[in-house]
Amino acid sequence: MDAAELIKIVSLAGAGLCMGFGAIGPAAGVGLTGAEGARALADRPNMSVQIMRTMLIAMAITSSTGIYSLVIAILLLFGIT
Amino acid sequence: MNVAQIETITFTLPGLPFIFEINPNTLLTTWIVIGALFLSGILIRQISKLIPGKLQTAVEYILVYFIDFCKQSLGEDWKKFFPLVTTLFLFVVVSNCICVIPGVKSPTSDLNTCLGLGLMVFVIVHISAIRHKGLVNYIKGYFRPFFFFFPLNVLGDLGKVISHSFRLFGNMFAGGIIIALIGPIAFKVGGILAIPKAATSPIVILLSVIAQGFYGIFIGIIQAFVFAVLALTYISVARE
Repeated sequence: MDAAELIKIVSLAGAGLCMGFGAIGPAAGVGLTGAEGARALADRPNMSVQIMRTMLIAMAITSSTGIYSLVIAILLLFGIT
Repeated sequence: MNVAQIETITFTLPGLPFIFEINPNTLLTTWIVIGALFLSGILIRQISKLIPGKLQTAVEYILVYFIDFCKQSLGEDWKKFFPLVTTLFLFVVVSNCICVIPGVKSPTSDLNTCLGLGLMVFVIVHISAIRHKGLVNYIKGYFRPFFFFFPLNVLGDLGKVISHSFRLFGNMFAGGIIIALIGPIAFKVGGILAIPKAATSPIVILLSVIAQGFYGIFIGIIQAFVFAVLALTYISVARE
């Protein structure tokens, strides 16, 4: 096994690990945000637009770390060849 | 299998050190989406009456929903950004949903489209912030709450572009990959269990149709809404 082959194997495995572990945190965070948003909606249905907006912003910020891990995984898959 | 899949065209211009690459697939579907939106706009304009029909009610519902959103986020300036946000939503939703037509790849599963939209929103956000607050206040905003927060604020703004465009791209690309994987997985499983013609059995075809509907229409509409609302939110946050 030469070095180029090893790098390829390691980067493929790294991409899978990166996406797998990187999805844990954002998934938990987005779930918590959605749960709290649903609770707030049940409490005050007349403020749905503001609650939805705040919930979406919070979800976007939470899930951005997952998207960074997607970027790294794509770089590992296609950037290193 | 994929009818509209054409190889990318690369070319160089004399005197420039870059290699230009054109993706005809994305280009074609993008123009189809633009044409469809344009034609449906003209059509709905033609058939709109004082007492609305079903189609007109649906369109008016979407527009009024976005008008409410813009009014709550931007206050009096909602008229400036309402057309942009609604156009972003309509363009992204049609480009996401176009992948339910067999053989057509949605233009948003190409990173170039999503990054282009994201960069466009980025430029609009910062120009509108400068015009609203003035250049001095805009630069001061980067040194809040303390002066050493400047690198963090700059990195946060750059990260917004990446997360905004990669969110749309990642969702649509992942949906496309999962739809494309159903056939090969059925073929492999059919080979292991010795079922003849497993990949073309009615269950697998039904499953792939359901997956296409789920990833194309359900996730597509949600992601388009998130994209438009996030653009609106970035604009309104940068102006405060």
